Amino acid sequence: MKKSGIILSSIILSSSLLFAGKSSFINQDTKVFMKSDAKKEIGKIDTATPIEVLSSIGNFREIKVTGWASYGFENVLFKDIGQRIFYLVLKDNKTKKAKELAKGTDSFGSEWRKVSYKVWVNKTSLSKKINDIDKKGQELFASRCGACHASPEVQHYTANQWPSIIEAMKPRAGLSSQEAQFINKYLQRKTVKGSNHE
Amino acid sequence: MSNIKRRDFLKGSSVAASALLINNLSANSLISGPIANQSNKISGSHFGAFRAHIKGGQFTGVTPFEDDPLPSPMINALPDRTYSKTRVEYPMVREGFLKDGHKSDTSKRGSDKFVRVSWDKALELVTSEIKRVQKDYGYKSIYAGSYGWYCTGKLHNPQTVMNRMMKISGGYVGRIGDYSTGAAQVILPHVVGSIEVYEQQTSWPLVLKHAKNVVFWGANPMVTCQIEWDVAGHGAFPYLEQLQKAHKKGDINVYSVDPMRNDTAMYFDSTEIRPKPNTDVAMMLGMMHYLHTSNQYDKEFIQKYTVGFKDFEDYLLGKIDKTPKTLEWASKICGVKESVIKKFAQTLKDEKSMLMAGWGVQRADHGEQFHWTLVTLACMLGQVGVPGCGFGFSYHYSNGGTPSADAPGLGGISTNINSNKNGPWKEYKPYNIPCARMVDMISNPGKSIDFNGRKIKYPEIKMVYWTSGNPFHHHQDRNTMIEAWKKLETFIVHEPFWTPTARMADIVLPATTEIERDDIEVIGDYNSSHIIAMKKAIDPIKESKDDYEICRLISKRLGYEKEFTDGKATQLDWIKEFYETSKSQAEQKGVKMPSFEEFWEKGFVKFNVKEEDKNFTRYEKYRNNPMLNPLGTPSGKIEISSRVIKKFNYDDCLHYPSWIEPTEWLGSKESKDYPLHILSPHPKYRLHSQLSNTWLRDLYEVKGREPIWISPKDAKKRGIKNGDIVKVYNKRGSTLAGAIVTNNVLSGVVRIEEGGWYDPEEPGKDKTMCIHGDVNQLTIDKGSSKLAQGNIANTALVEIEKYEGVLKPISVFNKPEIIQGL
Repeated sequence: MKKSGIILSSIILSSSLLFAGKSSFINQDTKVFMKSDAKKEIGKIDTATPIEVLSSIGNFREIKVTGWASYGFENVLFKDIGQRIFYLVLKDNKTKKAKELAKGTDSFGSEWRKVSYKVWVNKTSLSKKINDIDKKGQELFASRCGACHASPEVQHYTANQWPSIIEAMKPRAGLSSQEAQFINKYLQRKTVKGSNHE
Repeated sequence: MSNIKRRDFLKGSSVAASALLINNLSANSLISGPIANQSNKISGSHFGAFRAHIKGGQFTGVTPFEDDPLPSPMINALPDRTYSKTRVEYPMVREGFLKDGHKSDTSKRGSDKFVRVSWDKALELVTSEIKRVQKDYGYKSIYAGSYGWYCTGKLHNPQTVMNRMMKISGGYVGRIGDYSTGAAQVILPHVVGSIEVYEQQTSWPLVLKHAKNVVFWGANPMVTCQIEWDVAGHGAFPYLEQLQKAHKKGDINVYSVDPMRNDTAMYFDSTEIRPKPNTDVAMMLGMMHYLHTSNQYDKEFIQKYTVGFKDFEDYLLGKIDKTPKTLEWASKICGVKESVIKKFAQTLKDEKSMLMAGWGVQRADHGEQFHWTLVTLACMLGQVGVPGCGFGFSYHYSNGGTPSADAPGLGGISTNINSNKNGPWKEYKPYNIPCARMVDMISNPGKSIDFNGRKIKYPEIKMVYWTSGNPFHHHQDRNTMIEAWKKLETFIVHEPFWTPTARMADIVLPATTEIERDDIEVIGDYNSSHIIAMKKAIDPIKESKDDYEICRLISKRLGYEKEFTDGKATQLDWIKEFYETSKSQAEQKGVKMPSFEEFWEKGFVKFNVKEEDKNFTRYEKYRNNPMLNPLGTPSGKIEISSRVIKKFNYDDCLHYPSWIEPTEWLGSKESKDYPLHILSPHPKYRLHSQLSNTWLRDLYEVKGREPIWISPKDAKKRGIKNGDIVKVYNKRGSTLAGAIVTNNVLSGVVRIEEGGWYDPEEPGKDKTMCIHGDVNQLTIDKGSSKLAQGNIANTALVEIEKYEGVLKPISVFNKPEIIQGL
């Protein structure tokens, strides 16, 4: 891997090394930018996405996101092959060039690509610990998803299914889009461990 | 009010000792004020919002909420219900239970007298029973699934406040799913990645603009859209009226696929197709076989948006079971002529069509197959995601398809406990069973059942606690249920009314109705047109208390009052908190809401509908780009066959949609002894069993019995005439009903609306007949399949005869026998 090279270039670019090379998480759905001046918005990155901080200029951080995408749709990154936990959605396939890391095929015969991107985000959307993000989702799930009906068990739906379920229930549970995302990400993380579905 | 004083006075005193005094005081409290002392208070219900006429401190009438386009007649019965003879006025304990506690003779439930006790005594009994069962057997011995539809309001949700209290006490066994959509809500996430049945639909304006055919498939919105889970807004009715006009002009054809001519079919004078009950899947397979063999199905749609068509195709063409699902094959099963099925398929293919399916069809043996097959048909037609076309499974529910307003959400009370204390709830881990397997669980402790790919072991239930529901109406196979109930040590119920369920209880705590307490609610489940104040307009009737208050007092006795109240001093503090959270959410999205005080004074906030929401099409995003907008299935596409289900390896739910014979139907051998298929659709003038105890009964009953629809041919064969009292029976049970001889029902099919109150001829006697018309005397208590374990209320055969026996008067609308003390 060329990790050292990336870090080296980030040392040259950055005015601060506070976060450089560190693993971190996106703490809320946020815009991603082409450059540190935040002038050109190129897409969005999802809550709870694991990232690596490469460099820092002012309030902005350059981050690396790695995930799996359907072949031909490399601008939409998921956690894994066939596991649709959204990471990064860029507006198109051209503005940013993906770095291809691996190839794969899912059980339905569709081709996937493991790719990474380097993009810029505001530093306020980064957190060092996933637990803080998870906790928000856990609390919201407990307090909002058992008001009309009995609270469903986390394993009742799969990681792929949960976002559709939450999207449907969002207005009735009194959830803002961001709150729904906290719940989604919490449920998806929990479901992935020990699902019997696929 | 004198009510409060009386309660204070009574605190701690023995009721029996002061019986005379109470009678006097009760009499005092019945004196109303002058009618000129009047006000209008805004409130809401599952039937709609209204302004309550309060005259002399009493609830005497209603005016429908001004924004309701078609108020339901049901709101007019609310004053009657409030002062109904069936009100539970005081805490009550079954005589045997008061004497012997949990060691009582449980076969006496339903026939014992009730004894009036003080609130102190009742709360002490309830609290000590909860403590005893938690201590001796653990939380998995208490069933508190407490399914039901009683009342609206974000605070006074009796199920939730009771679950909150029970969680504090150490936990309980809960439920998964519901009775309405038990099968569909489990199969559809495998097929389309979401539950579908409780989701906003393609907007009505788009349906009216684009569709040439609108099919109501086992759906009756003219009846069922009267009610909603939140306060009903009736937003769909103006669109239904427009559809009627378009139909009359010949612009849109309206179809009804249903064994009955229901209210919706009557309203539209729909083109009717009447398959035999439970055979819709076979009919659809015939349609698909025709589309396939005539090379007309949308191959491009199947290729691009679905996976697993091949396995289904092999089945359809007969490659798997050597039975091609031809029009002839389908016609033999469903009873609809080949030419009719073929023409229907052709029309739907040739023109833009919207298939609006209901849920009654999936409350059947193998009910999972219906919605799966219909999705498959819609895929072969290729119109999913096209504006106004495709399929929709919630147009008949909560006014689905009414464009959503730009409103914030509104939260409510939950079972989440904020406390650092190391209380009994810390040990509790949710343990739930499929809702409709409740009786099977009570009858068979230790038994293991399949459910959606996992095994669930039934715990041994000792206590059942019910608030806001009437399981002795809604559960299938009444007599098996009564038998199972004998196994329970304790059955506790909160109820405003002496329902069939309250009559089976050991302890009944009198609960208030909505008009007796403050609350807050949304109007329109899907479209959220308003947030409405539900204002307390009268004092609680007699000694009734709010479920919240009852559960607070029990929590206090358990030592955890603060955990229950979350430190809030009043109920209004909760309501205000829900409102403020909603308001700040609204502000985030640029929607203005007044201060809580202004809102409470005015009584409602109304939200605007944005243009984009009038143009909402389900699956449009998916159709535009399935890779960017994947569905929640493993493949991200519509799964016509499912690898996940294949792995489960179930014999009663294959991995592709298929016709599997129900345990009873008109083609089965049981039909020799019981040749009529009974259906139990939603009632027109009730919400399930609610309002059965009001004058609305007079609008539909036949000689004081629930009506049964029977075809002229079937009636003649049995010498039954319009208005006769008949006995409907099978090996599971029997009920009386009043015959309505009508062509509105297919020959071979009869119909009793669900929810008529169970009135046993001889309470306590094994398999005694219901003399009023409880259809669940006749239904089967079985899971739909190993996949979903939903109820199968619409799968049952019966026989009917004219009833010549002695008619006992209906007694379920009077109070049970009550004694003032032991």
